[in-house]
Amino acid sequence: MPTTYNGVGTHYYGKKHRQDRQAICQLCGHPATLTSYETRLWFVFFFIPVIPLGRKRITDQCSVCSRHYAIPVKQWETARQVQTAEAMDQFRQSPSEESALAVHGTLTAFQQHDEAAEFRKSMLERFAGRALIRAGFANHLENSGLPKEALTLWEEAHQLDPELPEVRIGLGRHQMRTGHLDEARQLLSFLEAPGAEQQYSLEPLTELTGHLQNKGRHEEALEVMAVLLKAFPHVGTDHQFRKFVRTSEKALQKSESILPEVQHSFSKLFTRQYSSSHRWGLGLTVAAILAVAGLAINNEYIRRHRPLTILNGTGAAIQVQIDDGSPVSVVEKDVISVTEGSHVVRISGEISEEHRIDVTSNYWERWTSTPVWIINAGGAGVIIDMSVHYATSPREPDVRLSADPVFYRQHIDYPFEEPPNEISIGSERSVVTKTTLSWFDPSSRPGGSVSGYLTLKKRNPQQAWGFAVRMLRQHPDDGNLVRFVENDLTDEKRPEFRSLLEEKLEYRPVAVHWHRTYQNLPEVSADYETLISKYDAMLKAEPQNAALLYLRGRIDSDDAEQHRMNLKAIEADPDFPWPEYSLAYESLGRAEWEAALQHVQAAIDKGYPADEINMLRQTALLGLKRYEESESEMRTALATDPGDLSAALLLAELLIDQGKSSEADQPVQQAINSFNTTSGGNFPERVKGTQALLKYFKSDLPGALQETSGSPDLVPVRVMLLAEHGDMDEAVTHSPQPGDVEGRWLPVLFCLGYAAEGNSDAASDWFQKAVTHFESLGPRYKNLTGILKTPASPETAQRVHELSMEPTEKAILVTALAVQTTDTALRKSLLEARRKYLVRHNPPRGLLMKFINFEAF
Amino acid sequence: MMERGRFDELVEAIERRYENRPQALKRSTWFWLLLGYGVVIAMTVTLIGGGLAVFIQGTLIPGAGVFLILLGGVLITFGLGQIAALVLMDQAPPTGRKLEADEAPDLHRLIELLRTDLDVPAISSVLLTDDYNAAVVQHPRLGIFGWPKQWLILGVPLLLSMSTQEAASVIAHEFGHLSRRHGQDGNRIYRMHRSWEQLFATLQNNRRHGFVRFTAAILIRFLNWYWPRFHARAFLQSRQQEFQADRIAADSTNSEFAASALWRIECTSQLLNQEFWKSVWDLTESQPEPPADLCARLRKAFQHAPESAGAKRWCEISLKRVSGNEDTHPSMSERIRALDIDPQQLALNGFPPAPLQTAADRLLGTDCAVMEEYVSSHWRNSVMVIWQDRHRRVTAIRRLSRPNEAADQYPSMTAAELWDQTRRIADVQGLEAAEPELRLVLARQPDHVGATFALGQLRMIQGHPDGEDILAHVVSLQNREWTQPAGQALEQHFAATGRKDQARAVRLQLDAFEKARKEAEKERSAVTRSDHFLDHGLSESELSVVKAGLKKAEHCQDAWLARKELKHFAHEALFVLAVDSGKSAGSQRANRNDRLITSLMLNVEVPGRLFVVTPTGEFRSAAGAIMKQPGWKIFERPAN
Repeated sequence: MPTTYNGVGTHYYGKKHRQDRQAICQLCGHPATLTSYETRLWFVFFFIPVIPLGRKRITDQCSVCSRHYAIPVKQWETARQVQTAEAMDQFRQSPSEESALAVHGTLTAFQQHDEAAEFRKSMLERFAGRALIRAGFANHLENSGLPKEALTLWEEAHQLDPELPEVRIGLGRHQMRTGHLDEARQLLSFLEAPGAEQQYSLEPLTELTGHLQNKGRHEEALEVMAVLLKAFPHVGTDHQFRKFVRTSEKALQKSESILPEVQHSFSKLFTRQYSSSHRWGLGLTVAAILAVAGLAINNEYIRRHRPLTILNGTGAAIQVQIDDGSPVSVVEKDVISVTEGSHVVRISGEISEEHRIDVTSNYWERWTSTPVWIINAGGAGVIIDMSVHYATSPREPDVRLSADPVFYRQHIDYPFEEPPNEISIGSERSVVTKTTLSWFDPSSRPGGSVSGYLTLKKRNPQQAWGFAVRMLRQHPDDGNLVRFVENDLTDEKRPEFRSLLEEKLEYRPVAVHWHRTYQNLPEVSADYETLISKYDAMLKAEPQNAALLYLRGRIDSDDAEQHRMNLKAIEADPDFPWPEYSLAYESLGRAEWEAALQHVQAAIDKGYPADEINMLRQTALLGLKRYEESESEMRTALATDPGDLSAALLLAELLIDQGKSSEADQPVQQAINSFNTTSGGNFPERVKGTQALLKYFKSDLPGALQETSGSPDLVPVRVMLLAEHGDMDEAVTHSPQPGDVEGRWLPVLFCLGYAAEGNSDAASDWFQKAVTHFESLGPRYKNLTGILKTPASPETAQRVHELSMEPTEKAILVTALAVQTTDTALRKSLLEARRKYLVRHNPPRGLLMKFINFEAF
Repeated sequence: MMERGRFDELVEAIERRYENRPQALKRSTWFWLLLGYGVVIAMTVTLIGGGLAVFIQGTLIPGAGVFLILLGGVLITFGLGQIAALVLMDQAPPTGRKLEADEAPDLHRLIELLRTDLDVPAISSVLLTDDYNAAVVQHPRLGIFGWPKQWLILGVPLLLSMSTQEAASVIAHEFGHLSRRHGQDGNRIYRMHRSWEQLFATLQNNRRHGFVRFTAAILIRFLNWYWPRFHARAFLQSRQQEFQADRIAADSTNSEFAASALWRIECTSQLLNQEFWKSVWDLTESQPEPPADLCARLRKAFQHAPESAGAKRWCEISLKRVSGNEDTHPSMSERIRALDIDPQQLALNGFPPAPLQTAADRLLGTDCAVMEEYVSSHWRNSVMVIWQDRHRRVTAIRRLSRPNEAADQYPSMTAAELWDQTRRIADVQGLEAAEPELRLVLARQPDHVGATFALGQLRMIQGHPDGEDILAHVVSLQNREWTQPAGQALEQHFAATGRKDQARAVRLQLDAFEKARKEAEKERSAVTRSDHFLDHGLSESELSVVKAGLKKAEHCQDAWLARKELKHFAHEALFVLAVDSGKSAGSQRANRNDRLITSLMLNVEVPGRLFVVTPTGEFRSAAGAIMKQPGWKIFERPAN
């Protein structure tokens, strides 16, 4: 039957050659109008016919149940013609009762009821005294749903030949259907005779048992069933027959059954002793057992093959040994299959460490969860654990970063694989959250450790610290990371950091950045004697080690000695760049720009990274006003790396220095855009810092202050800006603790800030604090503290000139000295010296420049 | 499937190839048996193997593995179910009166002696039946894995007809099958057959699925190729096994007894079929119920060699009969010759005389009467309803028929009506009883094919040689209804009289006829515009009958008549009648035309097959082609 769901499916359209008749539906058994017609079957879409599926002849569509027979029209028409012609041919050749019945049967089968009636009428006249033909016609009429017409013929046939089996069966069936079971049984009694099964079908008796049972006449039903059982002993094992018999026996509460005993046997599974339900039941049981066994095996397999992911971010192959198993070499990432339980993971190679990991999970969760166990070798990798939200308007993913050496998550939807861009979420309001895991391998690119550290620091400073410590232990020569960690150092971490640095002082080749950082720690530099003796001891062991010579000179309180040690280092190793760097720094501090440039070039030539020393070079070029050269270099740098913010700021600085403020914005803005694109917007503080400096260069102090607001990384700059802006209380409040290098000039700047406000007491007070601070830094600053503690004199400027210091620091120093002196001429000469050093536009240029005004006052 | 004639040729070719090489034939049969099993098992194993692979894969994959495990479990279960269905076949045990251990001790002793002598496994039961036959039946308890259970079946009529020595030879022949494990081979072949049936039943039940239809199509192609080749070998092997069992029986008893038993069975079978059972069933005319003394009648029939004219002919038939390819038993003559005895010598003695003491009396002893009573009673009960029905029908025919004198007995009946009456009589009382009516039919319609066939059969039964010519004439007529039965009767007759080549020629003729018949049916099942139509070619009188029929159909306005040009059985014309109720019928035209089709098929009589087409019906294109020919228009209803 054609069916449609929500208007989509198949449907009949059109009715041709329609014929209606009143009869009993053979499919539902109700009196109804049965319609036959020709139609066309269509595939419909919202009840619109789209694809024709062929013409059909519909036969006896019931007005009650709608069920019907359908046959392709051509097939029906052909069959009608061929079969009618054959039957008529046979009838004309041999006009017997049988051939007449064949014609009539064909006509009724093809719903030609009017023609059948006409033919029947003529044949009944022709075979007036024959019972057989009447029985045959009656049978056809019964099958056509015309029991009333059939009954007349049955009765006529019965009158003519009461013994004719066809009549007795047909009439018996009719009596059964009309509820006259006694009459039916009487008519069918000949089928109960022994051996009747050899001549006749005993199907009518089976029907009779059904009617008897339905009427509650169980005793008689059992009698007939006993006849069937005797005729066909094998039905005694037929499950349907047995059920049927048992129903009547149960109703009669019979203690003894007519059924034979049957033995249950697998070998009889495919006999009628068992129903298809039994077979299905057995099949399903076997399938269920297999499924349960399979699931148990699967669970055990999962238990025995848990994936232990090894992440190796060290950049070198490591050997991983699980318990007493064979070591496995892991280069980057690998998955080792382990049985659930507690395992000891030993890592050797680039690093050496041992971890205990519990690989366990709940029995059911083995199927429902995808747990992840990770050994992050040396804690070198950054594990990115992310919850991704799928929704119509999804929120940003929740990102959790970890550099823990041992990592576990109970369930990760997409472990180390890209989550899909979109998934089905059901309703519009639904939000589906999936977890995904990935990792960042610091060794996969230059500066990776710094990137990893910075990424971690944003989400989890504690994780970042641990990561950095582990990375530095493995790579003491990672100067960049040392510097970043040093910048972020808190008092709390300082002892640990110092210990870490001391751990690797013996590391060779000498990690210069490492030593410099160590030497810069205030608590280290303060213990001058110890520090000197430490380096002397090292030099004693390696007297010609240029790096140690440089480092020893670097901490010497005597600037001349520093200079001498640099020359000695160059002599020990002419290719060692650091002494050149130191000499460039020394020259720069003395505003000896040409000399500085030469040393810078020598350092670069000896392998010092040009980008790291570039700031010295550009300061020197600014000092020499060689704008074109500097601009060309900066533009080249920006062409190479459009996101180079330092180059952009330097370019802006020199443009402003030339009075081209209006041109300064564009390169900086372009660099910021490029930087954001390449970094994915992950470093907003660097961008804000750049924008703050640009504004500062352009004398937009409020704008610069605004940019630095709320950024922890920009606090040192902001404090200077606040001091310049006159917000001294706020500046002091937010001031970081002055360090050995970082912030060591802040007390001096606060002194200048208060002085600029006209608060001479506070200025004096901070000046004293500055002296105290530098004194606390130890003998390395004894020349500086000597200058600060001694009242300014005409020699002071010369003494300052000989100090090894950055030009800007010298500018601060001479400005502070100028503010402290009451000698106008001296102050003037100091402020002139300040002008010589102050070539850069960075803070606290504005604060220092205030004293020009002050001076004018 | 392969035609019967081609199959016969195949059997003969294989027979020639393995002549005197029984072991080679056995090997070849086994090879084909295993090939068949191989295909069935390969398909099942593929199913289970695939399921197992999916299942194992599922156990090794976390997560998605659950689905694979379930799928694999279902596939394996389905495969196991298929194997179980193939292995666990239901075989109904044979029925009969079970001979208890304390009954017929001599028969038990003889069976035990022969069993020990021939090293035959224990017999589960001995069953006595009312058949004129003996057999062993084996049912393996473990399907294809064997462990058979075996029954010895002995027909009491058989024991009543032969001597104890002959009976011992028959039992030894049956045990010969067991000792050579013929039964198991037979069972395996039977199982092979059932396996394919099972497979096809499954495919049939799931034919709505495209994949299953595809698989079934491939399997049917394979089966069409495989089955005749395997069956031919198995058939020849069975024949070989009969010879082997005969030899074993002869060795165990002696060749004379074995040959004598074969000769007696052959002749007695003729006696039973041609005379005894006919005489028993003739009693239905007088007795409403079957006689209760079957065994007594059998004893009487067997007591003396028949002296009727037929007895000599039965001996001749027994001697000359050749085996056809529908019977696994070789002919009696072949079997006796294989025992190095000349069957002609046996034939010289004529119909075998009754033994002085029958095997039933000797072997069943004092229990013989009980067994005879069982057999008689069992036969009586089993045929009771058939008997009563036949009795009723005979009585009815008697009521309808006038007594005596043929010629003016049915003056008003047409040949067709008379033929109907002839069939009724022949159906109940046999052809000989219907001979007068038969001759009347042919007198009134000499070319009546059915009556000609019946006459040919009758003449052949009566032993007249012209019966063959009459049947051959019916075969040559290529009649849709009668050629096939006439050919089959002729083929059987040739086989029974030892004319193997003629029997084969008839078979080939029938195969060709059947093929052409199918083509002819196809050709007549539709008419299209592209068919070539001819002038109807009816005589005036035939045309007037057609017109009368058209006139009776009140909605028939116009009619055209043509004849379709046919390639097959062109003598059976197909007339195409194009009719129309007229455009004036408006929207009723299509309905009226449709009703006209059946009406005209009933009322219009043409000398051949009629196909009615209308311009609004399914075959309108053919109707259009015919209606374009003005010369073919035969009817136009005059305007009122």
